[in-house]
Amino acid sequence: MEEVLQVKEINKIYQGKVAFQALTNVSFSVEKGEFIGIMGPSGSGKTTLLNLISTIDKPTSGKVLINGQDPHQLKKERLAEFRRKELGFVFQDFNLLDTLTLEENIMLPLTLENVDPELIEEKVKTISKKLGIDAILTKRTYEVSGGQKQRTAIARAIIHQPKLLLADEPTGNLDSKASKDVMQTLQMINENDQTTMLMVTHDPYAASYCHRVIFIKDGKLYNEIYRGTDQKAFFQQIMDVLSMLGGDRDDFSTVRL
Amino acid sequence: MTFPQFAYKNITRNLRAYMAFYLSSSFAVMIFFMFAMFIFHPALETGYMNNIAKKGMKFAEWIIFGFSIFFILYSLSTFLKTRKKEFGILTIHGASPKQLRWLITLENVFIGLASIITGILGGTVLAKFFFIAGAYMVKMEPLQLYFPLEALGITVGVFLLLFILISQFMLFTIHSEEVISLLKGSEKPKKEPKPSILFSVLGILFLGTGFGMSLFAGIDMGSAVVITLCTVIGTYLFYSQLSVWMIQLLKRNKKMYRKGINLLWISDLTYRIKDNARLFFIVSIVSAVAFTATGTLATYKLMFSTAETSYAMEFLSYATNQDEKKQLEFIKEKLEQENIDYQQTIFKAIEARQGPMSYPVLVVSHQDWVKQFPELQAPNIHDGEGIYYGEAKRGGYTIVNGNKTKLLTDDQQMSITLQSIEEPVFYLSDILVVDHNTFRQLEQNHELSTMYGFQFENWKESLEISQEIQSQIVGETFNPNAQYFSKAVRYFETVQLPSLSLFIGLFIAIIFFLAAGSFLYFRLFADLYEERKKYKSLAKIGLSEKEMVKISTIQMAILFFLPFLLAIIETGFALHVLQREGGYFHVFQSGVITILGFLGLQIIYFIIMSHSYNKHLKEYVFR
Repeated sequence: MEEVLQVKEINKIYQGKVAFQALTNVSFSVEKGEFIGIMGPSGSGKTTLLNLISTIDKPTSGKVLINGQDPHQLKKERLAEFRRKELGFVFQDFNLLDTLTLEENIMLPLTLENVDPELIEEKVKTISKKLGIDAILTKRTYEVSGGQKQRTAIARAIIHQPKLLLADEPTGNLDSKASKDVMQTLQMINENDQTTMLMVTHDPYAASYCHRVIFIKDGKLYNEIYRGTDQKAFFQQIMDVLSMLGGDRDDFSTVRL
Repeated sequence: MTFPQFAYKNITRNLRAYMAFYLSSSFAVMIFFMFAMFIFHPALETGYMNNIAKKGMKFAEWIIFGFSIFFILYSLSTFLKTRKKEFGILTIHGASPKQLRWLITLENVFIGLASIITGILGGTVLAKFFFIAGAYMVKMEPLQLYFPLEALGITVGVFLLLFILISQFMLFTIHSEEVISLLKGSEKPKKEPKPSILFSVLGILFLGTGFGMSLFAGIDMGSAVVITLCTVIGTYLFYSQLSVWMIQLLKRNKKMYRKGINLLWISDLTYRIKDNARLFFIVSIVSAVAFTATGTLATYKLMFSTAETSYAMEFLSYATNQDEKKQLEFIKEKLEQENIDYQQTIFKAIEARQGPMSYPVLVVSHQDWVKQFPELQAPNIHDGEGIYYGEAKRGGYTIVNGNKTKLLTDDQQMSITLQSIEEPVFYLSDILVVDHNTFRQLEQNHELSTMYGFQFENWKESLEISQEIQSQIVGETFNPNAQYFSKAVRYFETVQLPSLSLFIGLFIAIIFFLAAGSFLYFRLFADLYEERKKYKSLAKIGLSEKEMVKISTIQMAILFFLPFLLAIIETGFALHVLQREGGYFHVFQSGVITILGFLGLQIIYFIIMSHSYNKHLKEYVFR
């Protein structure tokens, strides 16, 4: 299988009065079409890892290869282009622009690429229908619910068919119903378009949608588990690992299913 | 922790947020104080500033105060908007409305006091600088720095009151909001404004009336007020309505709107249209005031920098003058009394008129002229030829047209070919030198007038005797038989006397231009925090540094130059009124120079500001 993402021996040290090693020798790889979850207690280095992969931050040592290319070697302008073309982002707080309508938010990556407006319109239409937000396209961000915002953000993240979709706690700001909608949306995109996805979460329910979940603790890889056919069983497995991880079991809700 | 301590800590630990508000307040105080210092200056109390000028200055001071209120209100409202969430949290945790009121009042008093102190200190330093620089520019003795007790009192009193009142007013707006909307605070985006046809039409009507009246209506006190009001209201409506229309037009063109970064900056303009309208409005009006003041000033300056003549005193006695001897004696007596070592020039001349305007001229014989003024090296001339010493154009009127002129006396008319037109020699009259035969011919039917010129050093010191001589010869108004001119008197009247009004004009212009600049500055840096957050998330989805710089530069250019454009148009109309009614001549020229000067300054300011603003953004977004 083709490997979309390779993380090789990365270390990240935050310099300061007291240097802090956020990540130690983390390596893993993700194959095309895979849906990966990354979990761990707060402070374990999840978000640092995601920032390194998403090229927002640089590793102290080690390599990140996306499609065999090391984005950290790129010049600033090329890096922006790389993010724009190869990566898609979904954030916990949506990061939609209040100044734009939902439709305009979705088309933003394409307008930045100077794609023909008619083609853009067509793509926005298809994708919004797929995600069930076609009725609210002309609304502004403050007129829609959190779940709708997140689905808009997902539409924006995939409209340019990125090689890798990165999601940072996509359900973190959502209630359980909206979380379910969002996760099913992600799953559908993953299955239909074979989009490779990497999601950081501490929500075991969200993680149960993944093919594989990687656990980190104190900046090191702790464990990884694969999902079988049964989502419920996978959820239970995740809960078990989390309790072994030493987090308080009460941290995680068990009432979701 | 007591409550005042809490208020104090709130400021000191959140210094950055308070900084913009504090600085803009200090700036308003500074301007007010500088002007007050000027008004209450002891040199002006006793000096030659008349009552009308004093009233005008007082009026200007209150305009500055009104502008300060607007300025402080504006910065306070943007400042409190960013803190709504904080008030929401406090309310939720049980802070009573009374406590909240107390907190905000305390904070405002803290900041108010601090900015009053800074403003006064800054004002003192800048005032000294202005007094020196201004004095240099208008050639006046620099004003002394003094201890401005009255100015201090009035500044502190007025602004303390203002800060307390404004905070109460702000509280009123906060109280009327629900806790939930406070908590959502600045996150809650503004609704997209809809243009109103009624107000747009009104805006066009007001602007049209203002501009139209300045073109055609008779100007008196009443119509001046109407023009000003129409223009001000029209300008506001222009920005608040027409800008909405224009943006909608931009948005409708999808090919354009959805191309690259256009989407980002156009939508951002829409989003802030209300804030922008207010800012544009203030900046336009304030800049227009600055431009007009300077334009008037430049006109004034141009008017008295006409050609210099060489005689310190001139005395022209017409043939009809019975008292010539007595008057001449008086002049000499006065000069000797002051121990002035002078050189006298006398020649005889004939009164006449010439040219398209039938402008008065003294006709002199070439023979006589060459004898009196060998240094001018007048070339030989023949019958029917002449040399003209004077200005070909005066205040827009042509005095001498081409090289042929018609010479008119009471009963004769002849055509003279001018060999050349030279710089004027006398202030009192232009001179036409003709050949001796022609002069003879004219002389037969005319009595001769006599021109006396007195040349001496240090003429600036002869003001007093010059004034005495003037009242002796010319009297209160006019003497049909004799004319007198003194450089010292003219200098006093055209340079020293207007200096003060010039200085005031300059002062107002600079202050208002600074004010417009600072408005832009505070606006930009109040928004910086929100902006860089936005750009950071855009950078994550692949906005490059170049594109970010381009967007923010476009937005800044609109902020800087759109109000500038309207200000130029308004200045044009104001200067036009000046030309039409005030009898100023070089208005167009000086207006263009002024505006070009300000444009240059604005461009420099823009370059500096956009550079530092973009640097801030880059550092935060792309570390």
